[in-house]
Amino acid sequence: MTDRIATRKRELVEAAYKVFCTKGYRTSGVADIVRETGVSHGTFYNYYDSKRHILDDVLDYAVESIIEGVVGEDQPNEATSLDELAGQFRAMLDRLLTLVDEKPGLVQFTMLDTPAIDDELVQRLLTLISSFGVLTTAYLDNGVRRGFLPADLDTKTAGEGLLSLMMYSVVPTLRGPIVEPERTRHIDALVGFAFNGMAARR
Amino acid sequence: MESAPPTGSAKPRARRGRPPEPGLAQRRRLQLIESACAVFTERGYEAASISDVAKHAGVGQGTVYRYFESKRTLLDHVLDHSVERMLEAVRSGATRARAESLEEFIEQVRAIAERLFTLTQESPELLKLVLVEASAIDEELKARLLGLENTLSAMMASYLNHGVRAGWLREDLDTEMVAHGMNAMIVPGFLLALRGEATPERRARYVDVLVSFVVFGVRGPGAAR
Repeated sequence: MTDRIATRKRELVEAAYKVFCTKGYRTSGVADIVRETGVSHGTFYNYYDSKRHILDDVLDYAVESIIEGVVGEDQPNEATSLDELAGQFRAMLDRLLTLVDEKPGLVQFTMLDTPAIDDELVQRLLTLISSFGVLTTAYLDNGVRRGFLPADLDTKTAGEGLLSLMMYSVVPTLRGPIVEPERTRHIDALVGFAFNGMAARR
Repeated sequence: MESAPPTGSAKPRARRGRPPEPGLAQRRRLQLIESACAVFTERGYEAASISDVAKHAGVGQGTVYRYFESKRTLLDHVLDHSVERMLEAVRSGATRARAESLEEFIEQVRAIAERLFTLTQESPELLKLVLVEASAIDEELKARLLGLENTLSAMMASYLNHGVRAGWLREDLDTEMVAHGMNAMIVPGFLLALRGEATPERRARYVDVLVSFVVFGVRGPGAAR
């Protein structure tokens, strides 16, 4: 693929992402996407057959940019103590919620609308979620390697637990934005839950 | 509706059609809801039609409309039906006897996890319909499901409050918020089932690890600070 084609496709995908998040996938059409980019219908169809066709790329792009935005500076191998790891998890939750504040339709689009469209998309979404799970597992592997997490921790499954908490943390935003002081309380509770569980320490 | 009784004959004639059978209406409703569950999950709600539901149930379309005015109404009932099963799974694990120690609590969390896992594995498609697809259909359904999540969390929270008061759950536990986190723990099992990877071994390990995660967090039971 030449650079020019790649750039044009990227523009269309970004525009479609914006349209799907603001207008909703079902109610938007190719016309909305081309309006957003200022190209003609013909140009769109040079690259994609249909709205459904571009959706595959939009979903990949959406999940990639969410992961990138959430991870930010907090790379998996950096934490040297449990507190630092908890701090990373806190920062990631915070960035995720900020991302959703900035693009309120994001959760509805990725978590609800997309899997409702067809099974192929469900599978695609599952693969993308798995790659996110590999990442959360890497944070825990780092802790085990450095010895601040138990050596027998099943990091793959616990990593999915962490990931599920992150995914679930945005569910309340479907009702409306989470504002302070609820926002901090929400994050505190999830970080405390992930790192300390619920049991009283004796 | 009852028709007027026939007049002028010595003996009342038998009413036309099938004699009323006690409980038939209720059984028929349930049968239709179950057929709708099957059809919606198999074909997807959008693609499914009332005539598919009727065919699956072995009745005419008219019969379906006698009980449910539209496909959307049927979906409401499918949701109620499925949600009731989920709540039942949680209730039967949690509230039968209140946990009186951390050990009992762990056993109950495990029981709930097992039950939810069974439900997820029996019908991953149904859960997909209820938890994901339905929320995309309209705002009203989405609001209902979010409300339900709240109810479930409130149920969990009052259960957790007891543990905090009794001293075997941490005293700084934000039970109301953490209850939502517990709900999140249905996600890994759901993903496992959707990926078709829920073998008995994987499942047993998932339950172990996630129960430990809920109770002790990632740092596990050992490390006291």
